[in-house]
Amino acid sequence: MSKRVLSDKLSGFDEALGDNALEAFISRLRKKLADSGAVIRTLRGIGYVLEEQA
Amino acid sequence: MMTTKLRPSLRNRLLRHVLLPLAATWLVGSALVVGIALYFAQQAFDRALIDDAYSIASHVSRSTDASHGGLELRLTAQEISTVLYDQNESLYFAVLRADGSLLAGHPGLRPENLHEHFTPVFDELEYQGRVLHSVTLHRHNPADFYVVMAQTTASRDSLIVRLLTFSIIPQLLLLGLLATWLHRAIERDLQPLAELESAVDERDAQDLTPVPVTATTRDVQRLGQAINALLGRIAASVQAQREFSGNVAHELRTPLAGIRALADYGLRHNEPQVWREQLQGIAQSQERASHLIDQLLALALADEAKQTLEKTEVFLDTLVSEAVLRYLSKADAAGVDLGAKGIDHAVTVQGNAALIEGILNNLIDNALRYGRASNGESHITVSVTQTPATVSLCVTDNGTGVPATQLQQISQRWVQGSAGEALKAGKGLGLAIVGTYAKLLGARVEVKSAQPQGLCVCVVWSANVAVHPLHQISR
Repeated sequence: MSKRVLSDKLSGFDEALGDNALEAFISRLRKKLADSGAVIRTLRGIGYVLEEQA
Repeated sequence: MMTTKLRPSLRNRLLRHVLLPLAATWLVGSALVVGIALYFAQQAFDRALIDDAYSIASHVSRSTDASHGGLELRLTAQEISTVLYDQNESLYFAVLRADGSLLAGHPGLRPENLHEHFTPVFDELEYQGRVLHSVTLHRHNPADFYVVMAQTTASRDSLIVRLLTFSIIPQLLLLGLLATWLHRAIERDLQPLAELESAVDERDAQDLTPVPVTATTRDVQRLGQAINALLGRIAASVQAQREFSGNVAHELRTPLAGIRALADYGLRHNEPQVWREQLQGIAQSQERASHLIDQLLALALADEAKQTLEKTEVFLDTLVSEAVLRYLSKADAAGVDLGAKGIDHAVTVQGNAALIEGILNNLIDNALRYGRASNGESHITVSVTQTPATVSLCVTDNGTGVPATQLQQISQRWVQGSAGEALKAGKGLGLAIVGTYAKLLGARVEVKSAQPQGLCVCVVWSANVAVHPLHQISR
């Protein structure tokens, strides 16, 4: 999932979601997914990918 | 069984298409001219005949002798012979009473039916075994009577023959002269075509050099140019095929010999561990050989594509994103951090998606093979950079790089950097393919050292590139 798409989905009509806010969302998501067998991996310059924990 | 119908030659067809309408026009024209001339000539003859009839009628008067039915022709034999005198024709006349009986003239000369007419009646009648042209005049003064005047048609027939002779024969001669001139002119104009046909016919299948064309007309010149352009394309295609097959034959010798050596070594040993190692070596050699053939094929196809490439608007950011995802598992397996830069907004160029994918595949593949850092922390970045005048697509690694002296050479076919030579993998075709594709796309390739270390290869579009910010693009 590209950062652009995530940012568009999470933004409201009158407010733009900054990179830092997106990082915070992902960080929280990662904590929730801990021990679930799935991890969120960062693809540098592209976005994030949800994959099975090795 | 199929039969081949012999088709007429172009020369004969042209002659037929010109001469037949010409002959038909001449025939109709001549018939009209002769017909009109005959009509007016007949009128002249008829006027003379009717004048004679009126002349005789004017000498018919009332008779005092009741035995003549009250009418008589007052002309002496000498006067009658004067009236009937004609240099070429025989003239006959008869003056008939109202009941059809002969008053004077030639007995038996009378039309089949005598009717009352207000105008002279012309007719053909047979008299003494000859066909005569006649006119019958009906007069009422001094009493009802008829004057029949007839003459032979020798002068009329002779006039028809003369008209036909003097009008048609010269025209026929002119038509013959025109046909001869047309035949020669068409033959002369079609001569270059015959020469071209002969040159192509006698040509050896291996000879793809241009055929000589004597361009007497624009059509022949264009045909010659089209044939020579086709020969040029075939020659380029044949050359590419020869180069491809030659390269494949030459380059497969080494991996095949390696596979044979590995197999021989394995066969000489009985340990499963040795067999496994040899089989792994064979699999790697096969993979390298396949990769080499793919690259050679790509180069051959790119050479052929020069004539037919169609450029459209291509989204570089999308292609980069897809390429990174395509190579992600391979990069993970090699322990390389593969990422992208500058693709958070849409960037388009005029190009061909398949060729740009080919460029990305080769550059990322090269970086994964030869661009690994010696400290184990390898990073490869695919970036898109735009300036007002250019758009650059770059793949940068942090490997050992290429010495400055080799930077200009490694884009050539079969030339490898020191990392490739050290690894004994690949054949130095990847960058040559990138160079060929870039040339097809109207872009240039820049090879430079990355900072602090590594290699950076960029494909740069300039002048005609189209760059659009994200908010202007709807996909």
